Amino acid sequence: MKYRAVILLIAIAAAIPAMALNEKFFRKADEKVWTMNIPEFNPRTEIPDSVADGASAVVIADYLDIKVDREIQQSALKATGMTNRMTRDKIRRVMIKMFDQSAVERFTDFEFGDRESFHLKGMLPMLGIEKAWGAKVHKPDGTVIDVDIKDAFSIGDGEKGDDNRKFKIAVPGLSVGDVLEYYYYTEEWLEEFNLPSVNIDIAGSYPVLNLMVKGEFNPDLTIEYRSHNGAPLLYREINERGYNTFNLHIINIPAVNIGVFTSAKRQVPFISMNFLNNTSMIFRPRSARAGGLYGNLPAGTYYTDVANMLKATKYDNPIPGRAIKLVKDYQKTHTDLTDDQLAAVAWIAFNYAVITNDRHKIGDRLGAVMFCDMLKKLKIEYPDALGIGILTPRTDVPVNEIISWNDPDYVAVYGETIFSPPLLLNNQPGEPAGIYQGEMVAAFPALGDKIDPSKQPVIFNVKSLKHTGNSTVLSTDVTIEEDDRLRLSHNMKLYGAQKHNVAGITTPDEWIMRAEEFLEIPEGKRVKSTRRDPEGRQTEIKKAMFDWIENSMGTRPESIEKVEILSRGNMPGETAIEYNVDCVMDGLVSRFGNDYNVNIGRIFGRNPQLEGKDRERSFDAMLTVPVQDSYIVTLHIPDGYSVAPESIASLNSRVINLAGMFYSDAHLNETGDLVIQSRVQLKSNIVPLSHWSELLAVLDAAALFNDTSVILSKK
Amino acid sequence: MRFLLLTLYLIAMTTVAAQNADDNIIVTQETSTYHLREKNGRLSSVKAVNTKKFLARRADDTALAVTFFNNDISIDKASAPGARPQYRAWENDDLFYDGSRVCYLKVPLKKDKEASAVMERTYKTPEQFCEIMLTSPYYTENARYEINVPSKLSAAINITPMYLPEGVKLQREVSSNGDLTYIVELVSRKGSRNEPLAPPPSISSPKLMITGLFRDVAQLYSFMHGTILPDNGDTAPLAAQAAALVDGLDNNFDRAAAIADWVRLNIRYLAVEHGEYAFRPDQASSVFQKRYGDCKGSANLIKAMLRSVGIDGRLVWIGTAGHVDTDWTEIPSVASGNHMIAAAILPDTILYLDGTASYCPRGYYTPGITGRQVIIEDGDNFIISRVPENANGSDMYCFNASFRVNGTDIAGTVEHRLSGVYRYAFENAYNGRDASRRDDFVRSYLSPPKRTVEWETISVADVAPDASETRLTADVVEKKAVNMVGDKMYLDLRPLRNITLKPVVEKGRTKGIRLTSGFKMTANIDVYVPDGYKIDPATERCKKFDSPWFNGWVMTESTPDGIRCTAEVNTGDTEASLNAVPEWNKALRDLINISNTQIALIKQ
Repeated sequence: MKYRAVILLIAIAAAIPAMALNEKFFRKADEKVWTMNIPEFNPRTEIPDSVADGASAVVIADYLDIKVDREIQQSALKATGMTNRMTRDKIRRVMIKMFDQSAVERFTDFEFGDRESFHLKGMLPMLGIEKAWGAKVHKPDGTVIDVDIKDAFSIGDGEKGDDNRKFKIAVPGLSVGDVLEYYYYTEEWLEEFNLPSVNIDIAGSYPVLNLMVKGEFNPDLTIEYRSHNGAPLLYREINERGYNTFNLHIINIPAVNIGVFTSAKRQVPFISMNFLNNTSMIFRPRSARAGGLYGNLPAGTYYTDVANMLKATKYDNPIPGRAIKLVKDYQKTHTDLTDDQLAAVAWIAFNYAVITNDRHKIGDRLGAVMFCDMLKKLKIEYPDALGIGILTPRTDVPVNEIISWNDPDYVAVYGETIFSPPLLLNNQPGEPAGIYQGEMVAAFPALGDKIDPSKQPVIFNVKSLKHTGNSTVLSTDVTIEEDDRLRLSHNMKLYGAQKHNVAGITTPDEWIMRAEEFLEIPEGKRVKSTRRDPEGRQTEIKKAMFDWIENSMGTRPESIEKVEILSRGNMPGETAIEYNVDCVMDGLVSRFGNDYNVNIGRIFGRNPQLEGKDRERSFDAMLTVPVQDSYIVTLHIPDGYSVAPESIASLNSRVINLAGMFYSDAHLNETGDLVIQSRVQLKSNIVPLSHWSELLAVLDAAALFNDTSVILSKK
Repeated sequence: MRFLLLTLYLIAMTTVAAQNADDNIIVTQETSTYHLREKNGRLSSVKAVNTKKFLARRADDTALAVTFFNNDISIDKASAPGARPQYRAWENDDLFYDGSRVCYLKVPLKKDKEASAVMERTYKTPEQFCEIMLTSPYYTENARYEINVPSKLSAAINITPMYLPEGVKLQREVSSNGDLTYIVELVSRKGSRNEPLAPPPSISSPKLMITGLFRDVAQLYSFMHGTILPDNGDTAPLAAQAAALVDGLDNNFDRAAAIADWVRLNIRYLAVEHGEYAFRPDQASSVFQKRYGDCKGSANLIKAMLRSVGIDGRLVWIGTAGHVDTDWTEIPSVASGNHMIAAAILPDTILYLDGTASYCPRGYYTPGITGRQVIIEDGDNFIISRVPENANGSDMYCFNASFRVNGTDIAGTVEHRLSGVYRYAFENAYNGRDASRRDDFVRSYLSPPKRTVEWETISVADVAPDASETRLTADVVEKKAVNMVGDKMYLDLRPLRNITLKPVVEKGRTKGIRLTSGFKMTANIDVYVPDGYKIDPATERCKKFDSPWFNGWVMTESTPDGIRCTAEVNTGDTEASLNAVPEWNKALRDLINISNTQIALIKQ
């Protein structure tokens, strides 16, 4: 858990060994949950055919109850003399009806965690978590089977099996037509620190008749939430105890198909909620809110928190100094560096210093601050263009929907370029990762102590490399061997986000060696790793290349004869990852009589046709990045053979619309070889629902082209 | 049934092998010594000591020494310089729980400097000590396996080598006091790895079988049968269910089948295999009440339900094909079995009923059990028998289609008829899917490889769970199945499109090929061609293929309305030795090429 990791950083761990299943606690949980009178938990509930039709299961009721309180007790073990605990009781109770065996199989068994506790050595206990689980099966005839918790099996690590323990239990007596009712119950507390956040999903893979969420919070504690993607707001009330409460009930939620081109965090309704102990001693932004229930606070509120945290970020670390020295040494022989070049060199030097330092692990926030300080000390030309930015990847909520200063990723900003720790091994300095391209950044001036939290950040968008910058270019020479296999000799270039397709092509050690070359570090000062194994590495690359070729070309080679990496695309001046490969593919050529049929479409990428539910949409389509894949294939026509004009014509195809493009074009060159050029282009990472059919048309055309063959006839 | 630690060991070995992509790390010397301990003239426990000397040849590295243990096998020592033993639970998708745990050492290696890892275990229940695999994920220069048998056990305990490399023999030494030492030495042993279509390691990799724990099948049976406890639960509900199932059925064959079907569809497979539960079947009343169980529990329930309606139900021990290669009578050991089914003893036949084979066609035996030797309980006695082979052609895939040419596409109706193992596999996969995704699954199942298809109606015939055949039909447009070259029209029909076998990579392969079962596929495709076209006489022919592994034909002929393409393929031998792999590949390629040969139509 996040908070536990923080504790471990500041103190020596002395975890209390986990004990046996706490049956007393389970009985308490059973009593608490099963005596809750919630009318919606009725196993006889009539489920309309319109809801049940086509569903393997229907959730009759889904109930979440969160109670957060504060516990203050006298304690001699603490300097303040008092504890300051945040406690949370959470109940999740679900009733679900099984309509077919696949649902029975899915709910046939459950896992739940063990109790946990932690205390500082010889000092105060810091956290405690007790967990319970229970279930019942309601049969159609009215009988109820209680699941006996004693039937759970314990699974854990360590010599005695009691580390990281969890429990597994099978639900007895569950059949089609039954109603399963189960709960998870947790009681947890944490000394001084904030409890982990909770996400409340509004929709899931089964229809839900009743979703009920309740909360009750001690007014001294700060609860902040946000409703994402159309999730409802929570109406706050104050109960007789003076506690903040909310009570949400939504009925008839349809199932959501989270298939291809969908980002759950950006498109499916959910509520994120944070639980903050802002009365504690733990460091927090000066702008942190006092006790209360706050919903959908303006983004600026959190930007102010970020500014306050940045203002307070200090470090005592030799890495920037070491990196600055590397840059200055480099500058001695490269005196005319432009600003951008200086920033790139500094980035390489900084990451070299980080990666070769075993002791200091640098997080993104500290890394961004350090790098900005470094650039200032190197007297970058426009220090006012330096800043610390926060942003989120496309797989997460946008940065203007965060609910904590801790949510976003921190980057260093110079002008319109972002430098994002930690290092991306395949990317050039300042080259944004695909998941960041086009995303909103909130940038604060990199002034350290002088940051003014009352000033809002500058908002801009990370540069998108567009489809042309996130592209692959594959050039292939194809020869038909005597045994009807195809021999391919190809050159592949990957740009931008497409470099991610060959993750693993550069290891940290290989990056270090490239950085040393680039920075011109003297031989005697370079890292001497005794783990370098070029021969083993070549074997690894060759093995990985089978997968990479299958992904890029659509067909797995039978054998790979040569792999040559020409560029790793991660240093200035190396925009692309580039490699040459010679391989052999089988199963693409067939003969009839003297004629050949070459299934040439099968080396133009893997473009599966979307089928069934994947073709239906109710959301906009979200792609990670706009992309473009270009192919140039030269098929050498065997002596004595020719390609009919109709066959060449059948290779021509064109679909162009607002979502993108697919085209293919074939012709004979001057040496009589067949040259086929093809391109798939998806221009935008968001395709509105209204244009989904256009995106489908492009994808269908690309998929269809994979089926294309060319006939070679004997002259 | 009993998910031997051996199986886990093999999984772990191939996992380590996958991570050790290159051969930087080798084992220069591996020594495994097994000390059998005797008490009262019987084997009481076994102490196993394994030492591996690792060497990194080109660069510093980290080797992984792995061993498994559980409640019956303790780990007594695990040490290597610079390494701390790590202990983890081992979870497996096939088993709900079996108590297996893994101990591993990450051994840091300096280039050219050997480092030894030592692991010591004790087998506390001698029945678990029945096989020793002689494999390793690392290339091993020298491996020595030694089994020390005290003199008091020397007459009873036997060691049987299996799948030893050529030239390697099991040696036997006798000491002056009659103690026996069995020794196998392997030199230059390659690291084990996964190879497509290779027989599983348990039936192809070198190993030693330890026999004599049970004198003969009778003693083995006595042990296994002794694990069965009387049912002290309430059996009335299961009897009532059985009575309801057989109501109106007038023969025991149908009654037995109805009971088996019900168990297959209503008892979820959930295997709990720790300790004695690796051998002891769960009580029938408990399985019925819980609605889950493993193969033993399901078999016990079938037996109980059969008996409740007056049919002679029995438990049956069996070793499944593809995992166990020995008969009980050949090696009377628990290692000769890994599964339990039930049997209904009828006056003129024995019906074998596998409780885990959901959607198994009535009267059909799944490939895992067909042909395998069984032990059927018979009170204090037992019956040795064999599960019959299915009738020829039981595993059949029939593809029928009627197309018309539509530009560069062919459009029409397709029908897939699946029987035997095809039906069994399809129905399990189909019904295991969430209801909302079943149509997608059918589309993907029906799509010919490497072809874009537009679908209109798709239908899966609604038949009984134990029906002999599943029928899928669809109206389709298969894109780009027609090529025009001048006046010639080429049709790409691929009649044997449902063969999913692929040639294997020959270079570096260490094992032969074994298919899990034979099969038969047929195709009948009618194509209505446009007016003015007829089949090119050069194409109108019957092309045959005949090899030890595949035989069949593809025939194309004219019809009044167009052409008909029919095809058939039957498997012969389902195995190919390592030396024969290139020929097997060629035979498969020939078959695929013949199927993929396009049909030429010319203008009349």
